[in-house]
Amino acid sequence: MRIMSIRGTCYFVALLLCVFSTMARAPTLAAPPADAQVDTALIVSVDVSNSVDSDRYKLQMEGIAKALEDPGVIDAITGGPNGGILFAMVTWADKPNFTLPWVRIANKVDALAVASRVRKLPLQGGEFTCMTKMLRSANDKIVPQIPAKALRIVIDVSGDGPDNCNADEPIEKVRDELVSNGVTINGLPILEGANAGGAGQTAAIVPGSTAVQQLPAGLEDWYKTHVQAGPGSFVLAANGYGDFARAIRQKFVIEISGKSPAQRFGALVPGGLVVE
Amino acid sequence: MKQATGYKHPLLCGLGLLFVQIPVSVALAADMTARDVTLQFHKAEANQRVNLAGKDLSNLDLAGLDFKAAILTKANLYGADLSFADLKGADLSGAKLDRAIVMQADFSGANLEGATIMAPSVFSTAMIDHSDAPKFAGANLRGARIAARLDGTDFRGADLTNARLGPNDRTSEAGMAPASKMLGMNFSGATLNGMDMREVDCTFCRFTGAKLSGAKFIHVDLSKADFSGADLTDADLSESNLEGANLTGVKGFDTVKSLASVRNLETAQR
Repeated sequence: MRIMSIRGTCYFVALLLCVFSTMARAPTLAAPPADAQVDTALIVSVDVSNSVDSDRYKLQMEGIAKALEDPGVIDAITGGPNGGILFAMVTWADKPNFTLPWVRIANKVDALAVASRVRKLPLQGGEFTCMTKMLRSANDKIVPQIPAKALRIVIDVSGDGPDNCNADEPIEKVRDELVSNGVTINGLPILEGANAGGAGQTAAIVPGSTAVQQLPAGLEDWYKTHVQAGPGSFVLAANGYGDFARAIRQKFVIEISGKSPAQRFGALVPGGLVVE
Repeated sequence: MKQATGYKHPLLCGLGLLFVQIPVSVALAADMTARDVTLQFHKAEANQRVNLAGKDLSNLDLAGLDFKAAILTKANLYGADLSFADLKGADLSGAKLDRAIVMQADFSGANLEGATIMAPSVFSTAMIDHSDAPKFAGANLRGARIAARLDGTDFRGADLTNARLGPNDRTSEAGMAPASKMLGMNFSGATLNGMDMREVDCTFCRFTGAKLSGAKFIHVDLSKADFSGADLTDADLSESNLEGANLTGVKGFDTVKSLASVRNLETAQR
């Protein structure tokens, strides 16, 4: 009886140790700075791995550029309390490339200039989809170099496949580290080919209408489980590369305005957007 | 009923799990994380040199960072990823850059006196694209030890006095990509007095106007190398190959040692 009691105590202590060990690794959220100088610091990260040929790359760059030129996005940029955002881009495959260093966008002229730069970015591709490495680089080198205080820091991760890079560390570890450094990670899985399949169905908004379009799940679920994190985070899928421009524009509006997808798009998002 | 013998005690098991994690992280740990390093550079005032002297920065991913002429004296950068890093004017004297990734890193004007650069990764593909080569123009590499494949590297105006270039052990390179190929390196206007280059393929290397007084080229392939206007006073060319080399306007050629062992000297342009 006495032995059982000691064992019970030991189990309890072991349980406590495990709980504390887990807590030590769980992400803690950093409070937004009170003296912010921009509303959002937005890192747009684009998959340029083997599956992304020049046409698909062009669709992505053109989609991002068009989104920056969109009046709705410009309104969101200029309509915040600080009247501006910081914008940066990373393209990633085997390694991340900080292709567009931090630039401030405070008005339409700035937005159009950045759009023009995005269109001119050359494809620096690679073979693998090393998303964990990209997130590590974002945490270690891109976020620390944000040149002004931001109310929100957002990483926009888009890609057409899950991490296939045999990374040195689990993606969840890096993701949680980013969250503890005040970063929200949103996902834009591009549902294309084999990665479009999977269990269940989900939905996205048809551009310019209130209709909801059914999309196959699969990669989207992977993004929800392994990528999406942080306050107000969400996953918004693109139904193939042809749908990327629609999705990224919608994503920018939500991210830059700082409103939740539900606030921004009302009840139009059953299943299409998954908000944490 | 027989029970498994190991890890019966749950408390010990719990403690064990905690301690098992520690050695793994400690074993790989540098003194700082890449994030710490980035933050230091980012927070530095204009013209303020971040001091990381003696720090262990081994195996960190520091690619693409602007080091802002940091002080890295005797820093350990073993295996660090410095590709595309801006190390212009940095003080890397006595630093260890062995096995570092230096693809397109810029060391122009840096102080690398006594540094070691052994078996770094330089090229992104087996095609050896010279545009991947790091830059050492105007750098101080006095007494540095370099064993690397550095084809096309820019050493213009650099000081490599008493530096040593070449493999530690030529036989150890058998069966692997040789570290002793340094084709087309540019040493124009560099100071190479007393430099020791051994067992190196330096075909198409340029030494125009370079100071090579007392330099040793032992068993070096200098085919098509350009020595025009260079000072070779008391240089040693033992068993080197000068096939098609350009020796026009060379100073002190009559003082060069071991000329008798030089191969294809008759094909050199004089």
